[in-house]
Amino acid sequence: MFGAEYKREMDALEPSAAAMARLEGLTRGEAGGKPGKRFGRRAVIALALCAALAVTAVAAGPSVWSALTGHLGPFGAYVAPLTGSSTSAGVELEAVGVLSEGTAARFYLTARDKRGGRLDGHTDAAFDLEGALSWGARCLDFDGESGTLLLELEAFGLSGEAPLTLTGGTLTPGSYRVSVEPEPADGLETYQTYAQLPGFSTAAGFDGENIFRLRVRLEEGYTLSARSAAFVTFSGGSTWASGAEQVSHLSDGQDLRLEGITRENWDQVERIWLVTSYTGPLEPIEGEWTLTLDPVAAGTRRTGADFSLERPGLTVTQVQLSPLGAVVTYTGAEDALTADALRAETAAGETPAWGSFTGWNWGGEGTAIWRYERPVEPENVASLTLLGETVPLAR
Amino acid sequence: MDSWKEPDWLARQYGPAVYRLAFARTGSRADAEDVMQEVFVRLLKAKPDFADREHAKAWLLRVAANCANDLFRAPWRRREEPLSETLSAPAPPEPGGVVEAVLALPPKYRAAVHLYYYEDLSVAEIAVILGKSQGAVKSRLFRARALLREWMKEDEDVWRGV
Repeated sequence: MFGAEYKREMDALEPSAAAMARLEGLTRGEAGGKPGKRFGRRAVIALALCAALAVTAVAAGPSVWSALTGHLGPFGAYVAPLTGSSTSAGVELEAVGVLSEGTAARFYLTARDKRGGRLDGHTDAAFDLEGALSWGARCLDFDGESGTLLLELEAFGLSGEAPLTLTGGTLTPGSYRVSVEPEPADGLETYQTYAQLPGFSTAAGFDGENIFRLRVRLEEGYTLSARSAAFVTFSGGSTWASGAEQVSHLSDGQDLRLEGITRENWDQVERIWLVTSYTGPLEPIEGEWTLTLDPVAAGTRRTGADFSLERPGLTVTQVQLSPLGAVVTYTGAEDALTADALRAETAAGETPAWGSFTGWNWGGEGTAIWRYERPVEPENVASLTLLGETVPLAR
Repeated sequence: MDSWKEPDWLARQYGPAVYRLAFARTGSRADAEDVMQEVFVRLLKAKPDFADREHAKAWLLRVAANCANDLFRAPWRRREEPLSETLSAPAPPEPGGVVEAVLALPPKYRAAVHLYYYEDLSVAEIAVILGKSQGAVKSRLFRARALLREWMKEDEDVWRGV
């Protein structure tokens, strides 16, 4: 279990004896307690966090709608327009529209850098959202000329039609999440670059002690934002043993020493992949935006208040059907519902294909979302079957 | 004064917990030790009156989270610490595979993951420590778990019961 393993590994990590001695010296009031060196000379970065709220009713321009509908395809017709904007840290965040599915919704926002030159198409956007859970926001499009991002913020667990509130967040341009399988070479001098990862390269091979190493190297201006991790699978089906890798910082990256892999057992290694993340060269922007997001509930058919479908370990409490797909609310384990559990059939006898299946589960309270490949009006669905049972939907 | 309110008692009792949270957040032993020291400097300066031990621990963890965040804002952060010339293994034991995976997460997720899975705190308690809303904490945990599952999908056993 993840939690138990994490605890076990963390329990093994202790501050050094010297650090504890310094700490105890400090707290006993003895002389010589070493001050935290980072904090003694900490520079305050004036991000000029302008928390002013500017709410204006501004409709999104044609280019934004064009980019949005281009991304959404036939589902673009179901986007309800939204208004409202907020400016902080020189970035104007503006609500554009929403695709609502009942207790789940996708909000579309633009983030425009009013100072210019601080955002790019690899910007990671993380916002705090009151009133729902969120995966976070992903970048759909970036207009370099205007410095404007088009973002999709997916929210789950909405309660009815109550608006949500976005309260601040961080835009981190040049955010790259890496998951690569470095090609081993003879020695560690040959670096491999990756087309989608600027400033990033890896080397993989055996060192002079016959131990396998992975090297991560970054060009000037880029910084690792994580401690790199290696994952390995062996031909016998086993995976990487915990505690078997050592990570060292280099002046331009990181070195991973994989002690469990030598030339002797190399033929048993099926796959090695490296996971890390880095940013650069632009700086993150933290803002205290405040934006109200109205879910604007789509026309949905849903089960009645008394509805309940039970299986061992699972209770489905609500099913909602919209032109986008179906949202099922349940209590049970994360894998209690799978993609093939739900089937829709139209009056014409057709079975619309599902384009995606997703959802979330928090402590047994879950939402599963099926989305069509193409929109289907709810009134055209003659029957909806969940786990083999017909779902009674109100008209 | 009750002995548990003495700074040196708190340091012995909760210093390692502060260190582990700072390590989870920063991924650096040196930074974690600096944060641990700074937290107790602030304790000595602030002299808060704790109602009980849980209150004391929560206060220390909150300050630790703030101090760790401050490290990420400092301009020196961009400099990598140079390694000694030889690349022979460092002396202390390194964290295992699961901790390594958490350290590979974006920085903002790590503190929430650590407080939830190591300190067994509730979402409400984590929200107070991190100064975020409960919704924001849940979202961070949710997204962190999705990333970890994607990376570690070859090892489904890790996720049983999560």
